[in-house]
Parts: sequence; structure tokens; C-alpha cells
Amino acid sequence: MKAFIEEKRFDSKIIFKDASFSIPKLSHTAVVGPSGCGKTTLMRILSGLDCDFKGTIEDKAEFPLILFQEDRLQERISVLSNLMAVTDDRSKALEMLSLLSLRGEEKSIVHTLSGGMKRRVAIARVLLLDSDYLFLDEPFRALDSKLRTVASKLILEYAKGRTLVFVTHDEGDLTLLEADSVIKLG
Amino acid sequence: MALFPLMISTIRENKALKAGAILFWLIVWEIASLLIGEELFLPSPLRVLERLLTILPEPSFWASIFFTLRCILFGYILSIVSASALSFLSYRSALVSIILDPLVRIVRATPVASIVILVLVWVRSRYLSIVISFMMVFPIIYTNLLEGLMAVDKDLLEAADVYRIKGIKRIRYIFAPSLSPYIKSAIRTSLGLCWKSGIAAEVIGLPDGSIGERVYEAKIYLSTPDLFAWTVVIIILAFIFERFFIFLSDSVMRRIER
Repeated sequence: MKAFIEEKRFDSKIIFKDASFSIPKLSHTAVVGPSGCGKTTLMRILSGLDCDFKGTIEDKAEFPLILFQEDRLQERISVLSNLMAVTDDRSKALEMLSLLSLRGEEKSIVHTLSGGMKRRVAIARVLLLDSDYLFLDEPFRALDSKLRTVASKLILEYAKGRTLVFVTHDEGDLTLLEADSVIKLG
Repeated sequence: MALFPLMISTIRENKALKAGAILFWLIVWEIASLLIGEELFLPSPLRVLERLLTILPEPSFWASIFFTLRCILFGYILSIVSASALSFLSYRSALVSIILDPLVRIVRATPVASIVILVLVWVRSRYLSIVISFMMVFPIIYTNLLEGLMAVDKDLLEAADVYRIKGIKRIRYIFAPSLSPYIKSAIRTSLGLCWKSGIAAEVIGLPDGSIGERVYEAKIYLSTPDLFAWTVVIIILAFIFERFFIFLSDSVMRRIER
């Protein structure tokens, strides 16, 4: 995937000007940089969610899968219901919860969970879906080191034969997700 | 300091105290009727109970209840279905929303009596309470649902698009849980109004065999105990009606939450 951004503005502020980015197929590309440098904006452009810019993207991802920076879960329903929204396979959903140390929480209403638990539910939901491109925005936010390792193993397993793009401000994530290509912003 | 609000909330939940409050007002009523000493102006609670027990076994009593209940229920369900459909259309199309807005505002602001008299020109009195309960409830449900739909988290909807959550699943897992508080509020607000306006319409239109007709007859024959007895019946029916719909919506929501 190749992106050429002639100009991207956020209100009157220019975020990108004559910038080009390349995401090799099947790579694990990390987007790094300080807060506010446009990492999430770039991810939204690359994934096709943000089309409000001047420029072009070649070899766009057809059905990109995105783990948003916010968990974006339906807070009023159970953990399992959030997963059942994206799959009909109940046993697969329960297995995913188990792998992310959330077994026993399937009936818990999301708004009662901690930040780290919600993050894991959000990761589980993404990994239940199928796509050639997986975009992750701060995937391990609110997770401790043990859970980061657990989640990264699952993500790496999923990313086999797929293109992975992840946004992070934590250099440690590059090792965890075996980044072979890095885009530095700011 | 923090215990004080907790105590107030515990007191508010206390069923015995709630029953005590009802008993208190019954005593006030009894004393007031004794002081007035004229059944025509204010019959005692016992006299009303006596009348209620007299009319209770009459077949015409149940026929009136069945007639009014059927009409109001039909009008209510009709308004839920149409308001749900139209609020969703308004959510999807700004044009539909703009077109419906003046109509909803006018119906909301017009007094029930004016609407009843106008509707009596258009439909037979038999169907009056259906139309009136429909018209009174429709704006409440429509406005609440539209407000709820507009308040659905845009980020959540974007995520639903990315995760290809469509059709029934989108309604069940995205919209329904977000709308749940708005639906509950709409039910609570509209049910009481539905009964009040439906009975008021019957009292004006006098459809044969309705509760409204019985209330009107009680007034004509200056039978105040009967008037009170029928009012008690209406209050009980409205209460059961409200509990039933709240139970129904809670059950549906619980199923969705799981």
C-alpha cells in the first residue's frame, strides 16, 4: 500500500504536507511519534476511514480491520453480546475470551469492567473478524506487561499472512509486535 | 455526611412507608368526607369501596373495561409502531424529520378536548379513544426515540461499520441498548397520558359500553360514589397497564443485555 498525502488539515492546522508512506504487503509496520503528531490521523487515512485529504492511496485495503484507540464497545450489554455482534460462533467467542483471560466475564455488562478488561474485549472482538489488513491504534493501552505479552501473542498469530499496521508511542510495542518497518512522525 | 442521602434513598425504597403514605391519604379522605358530611360532594372511601364491590360482579362492568382497554391498548400499540418507524425514518432523512416536526409540535401543543371534538367530526365515537390515545402518545414516543437515535455514539456507529455489524444485529447490539433509557422514559411518560386522554375522549364522545360512558352516567345521575369507584378502576387499570409495559420493555432489554 502506498499513500501520497498532498495535504491533510485538521481545521486550519496542517497535519501532513507532501508526505508519502509505504506499507509493504504482509509487513508489521509501526507508526511512532510523540502525542499529537498525527499517528491516528495517518492510520485513519491508510485504513480508508478518513478520505478528507488531498492525495492518493494505491492498493487500498478492501475491508480493513481496525482496533480503535478508544474501545468503542456497547457499554450497556454483556461482554459476550459485544462479541456476538461480530460473529455467530459462540464457542469461538468464548474461546477468544478465555485466551485473553476473560473467561467468567462473558455475562458481565461492559460498563462494570476495568479499563484493561474493556481493552481485551475490544481486542477479542477484532480478532474474531477476518481481514487482510489489521490496523491497531495503541493496542495495549491500559494493559499490564503480562497481559501485553498474552495479547501480542494472539495478535501475532492472527497477523500471520496478513498486513499489520500499528500506532504506538511505546517503543516496547515494536518488539512485542515484531515490527519490521517503522514510520516515524513528528 | 455521605450517610444522609443513603438514608433518604433507603426511606424512599421502603414499601411499608409507601403503604403508610397511602393509608395516611385514605384517612385524610375519610376525615374530609366526615367533615363535609354530604356524599354528593365527597363520598367516604368505604362508601366508594362498597360501590366498587357492587359493580364488580356486573357483566357490564367487565364489558366496559374490556372495551376501553382494547381501544387504548390498540391506540397505544399503533403509536409505538408508527412512532418507531417514523423516528427511524427521521433519523435517516433530515427531510422526513423537517416535514414531521411541525405536525408533532402541533399535536403536542393542542389541548386534548380540541382534538377530541375535531376527531369526533372525522370518526365514529366507537373509535375515538383509539385515535386520541394514538395521537397523544405518538409525539412523546416519536420525540424520545428520535432524541435517543440522535444520541447514539457516533464512534460506536463507525466501529459497527468497520466490523460489518448490519441489519438485525445492528439494531440488537448497537441501537436497542443505546435507546433503552429513552424507551423506558417514553413508556413512563406516555402511559399515564394515554389513559387520561383516552378516558377524557370517551367522556366527551360517549361510545356505547365504554368506561367513559359509565363515568359520564355517574355524573349525570349525581352518583358521586360511582364516579369515584370508576376513577379508582381507571387508576388501577392504568397502573397495571404501566407495570405490564415496563415489565415487557425490561424483559426485552434484559434479553438484549445478555
